[in-house]
Amino acid sequence: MRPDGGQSPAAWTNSQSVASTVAVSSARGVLSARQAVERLRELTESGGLEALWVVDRQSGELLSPEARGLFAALPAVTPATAPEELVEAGLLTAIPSGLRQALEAPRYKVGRGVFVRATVNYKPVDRTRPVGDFSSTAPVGFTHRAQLRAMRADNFLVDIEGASAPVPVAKTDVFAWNEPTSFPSGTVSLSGVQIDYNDPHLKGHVCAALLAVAADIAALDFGDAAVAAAQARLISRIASRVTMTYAGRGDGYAGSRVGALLHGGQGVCFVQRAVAAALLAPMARLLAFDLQVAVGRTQRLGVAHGFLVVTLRPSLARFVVDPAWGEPLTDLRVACFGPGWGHDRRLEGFEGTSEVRVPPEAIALPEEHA
Amino acid sequence: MIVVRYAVCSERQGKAVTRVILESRTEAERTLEHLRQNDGTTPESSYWVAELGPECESWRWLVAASSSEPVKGGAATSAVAPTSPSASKTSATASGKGV
Repeated sequence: MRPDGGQSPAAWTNSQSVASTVAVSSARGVLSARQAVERLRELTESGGLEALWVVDRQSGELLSPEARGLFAALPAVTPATAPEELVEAGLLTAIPSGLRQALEAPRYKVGRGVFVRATVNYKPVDRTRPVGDFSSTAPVGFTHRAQLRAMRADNFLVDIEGASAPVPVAKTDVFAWNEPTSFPSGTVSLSGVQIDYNDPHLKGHVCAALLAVAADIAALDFGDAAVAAAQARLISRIASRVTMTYAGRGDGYAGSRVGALLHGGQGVCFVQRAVAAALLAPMARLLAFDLQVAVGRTQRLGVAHGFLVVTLRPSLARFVVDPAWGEPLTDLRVACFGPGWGHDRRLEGFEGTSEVRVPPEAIALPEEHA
Repeated sequence: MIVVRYAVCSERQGKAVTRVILESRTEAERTLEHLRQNDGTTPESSYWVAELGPECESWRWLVAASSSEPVKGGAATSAVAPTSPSASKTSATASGKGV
């Protein structure tokens, strides 16, 4: 199943039941998956987990024998894992109220902010005005300042700030630029970072992150008007678990193993946001958000910059996750405002693949005729 | 660590960036000094050279993106190899007048 509860393309069939019992040898004897979760919970609550993350700087191997045994015994939680399986595994006490309705609510509707490509201006007028508005004489590029208005045949009609009339954009393009990045089965490579949800080290990080926010997840109510703020706080807390230094600024592990990078590793922005994507993707169905792996550029220096875009359901509010810049979750409007605000980034494309077949029930836009 | 590329990096207000990727340390250090001098009135707070290993191929993305070639901007159904960014596709009208 996809995070939106729709049909299951191959990209989302990477499910290994988290309820399955995996018995392995460890320093404490033989642990079942459930026992491993309980041991991880004990360590999380006692503060004893920190010592288990230590890795060999060159190989990225966990140094603690207990960590190796414990993490190997944990259930694998993937982007395809159903929330119900997390409860069965003891990683959650309850699923958020109204989660299914939130995931099934139409996501292409009037007023939704979308990424589109058009002729847009990225030259700042002054510090108080955001960049990315429409300009017929500007070069073509992505803008985040577009909103869905209606549909006409194979196009969506989009209001772009600064344009005098709605702009038609092919539906397939809107889907390609706004649907979440897919995480296919098996090992995924993002910017060279190897993401394998069966890797014990990554299992440890994903399960520890879930346990740390389990009580707050159980309290989420998607019928509550304030749910978007609660979702944002939880995503920010999870993203904040990525504690890396920029390449060349630390002495941590600098290889391609995501589990070893996540806590104390080093890497450029592309690497850090790939690590954050690996940690956040298994939470997407549970917390009802979409994740896009973005490729961008800074405006002031014109250099490449990688970050993530998070879209909450059902509010469709958008945020940027940028661990390399110390931003676990920043409102997209602020994150892309302009070079004079310290939030100096613009979107140029996406890494990975996204699903462009969107079910009709996901679209709730009026039809406009020419 | 086997070093395959050198990243010339700088940081300002806590936002680190990679300015350029080069194949030799000598060239990277020369470029660092050049950038430090040419940033002029808006200098970065720090500059350094980072070694990039072969395990992590993020440098390919940085090189591709820095070449001003478009990365995947339109063809979202196919993955784009970092070394061969695909051409972007433009669908929005350039006039903004709509239809």
